[in-house]
Amino acid sequence: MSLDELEEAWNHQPITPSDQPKVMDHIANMNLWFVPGMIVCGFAVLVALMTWGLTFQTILIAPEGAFGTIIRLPVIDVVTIVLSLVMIRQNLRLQRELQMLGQETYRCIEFLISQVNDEIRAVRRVSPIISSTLFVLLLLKEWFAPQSELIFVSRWDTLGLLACVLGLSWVLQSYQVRVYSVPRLNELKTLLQDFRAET
Amino acid sequence: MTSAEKKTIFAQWLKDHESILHKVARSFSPTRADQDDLIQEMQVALWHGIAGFDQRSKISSYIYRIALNKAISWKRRAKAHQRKVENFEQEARSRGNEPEQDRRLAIVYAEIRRLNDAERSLILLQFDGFNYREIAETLGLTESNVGVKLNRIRKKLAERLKGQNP
Repeated sequence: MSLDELEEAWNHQPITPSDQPKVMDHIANMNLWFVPGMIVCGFAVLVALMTWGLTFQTILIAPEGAFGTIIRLPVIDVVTIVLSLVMIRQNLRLQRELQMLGQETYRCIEFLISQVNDEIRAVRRVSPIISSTLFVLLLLKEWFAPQSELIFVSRWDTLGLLACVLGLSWVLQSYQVRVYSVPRLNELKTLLQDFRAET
Repeated sequence: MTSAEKKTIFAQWLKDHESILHKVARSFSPTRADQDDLIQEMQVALWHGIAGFDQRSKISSYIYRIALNKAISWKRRAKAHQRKVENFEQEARSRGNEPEQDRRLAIVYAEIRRLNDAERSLILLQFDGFNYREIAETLGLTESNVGVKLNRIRKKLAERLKGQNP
């Protein structure tokens, strides 16, 4: 077979067109979750911030025992804000990725590389910091509020369980990064080199 | 741009240029299921890309850009990753009973899939009639780089196709 025959086969290949109404339905379904999702996240952040605001207002009115009150700030507010911000960030990343698909391929690959680097950094640095901070906040909360109730009779058992869950979650995320994200990053860097090479 | 205008543009783009999505999907993935997945993702990307089209390039080259970028960024399913898709003999044997045109096409796509992503992107654009300048603009390369690479890719393909009969 020659190159000319290849090009002839290429130019005369049959293409089955897609069912356009089905395509439009799929796109409409994809858009359905985005706006409500962002509204829920925004609302959650607002509620959490308002709770914090009211707590600080209480401290300002009655400053005695302020330190203990600050430490007893509901950890659930912190978790809500962190999770909501993570979801908002993911949605914004998705939007940015869709935008970058219309750029030159070289620039798009550079953007993909920075995204994968961000994912790896998030698991290796940011996630342990956030988990440790939340755990320390909870620890301090229990230290200063011995009467609060947790899932088990002993609050230290609960804290121990939470530490195990956070640790396991980080181990699984690290595994995923090693098996998927790092090879993906190397693939993209090789591709960029292939495009860049003059010979 | 209103939603109705966007829908009209999208429908027209699909009608005129949908073949680009199919060709790119078939070039980047060997299995029908993965191709269908990829085409669907390209259609979504195309929909979102309508607002970003600045009319400085041809519509076809803009669509090609979206399709190639999506194919490159698409995370292949684990099974597709594990398969050695460039095993041409296995693919050719599985298409032995098809009409000659389909067998030739199977050979064409098998050879295109053997190229790396960069080479594949370049040759697809050339096969569809883009000149060096347009290819360079679509991919973000220089014209001389495109010329050198395409000569090399065509020589490689010609060597591999020698002696292959549909």
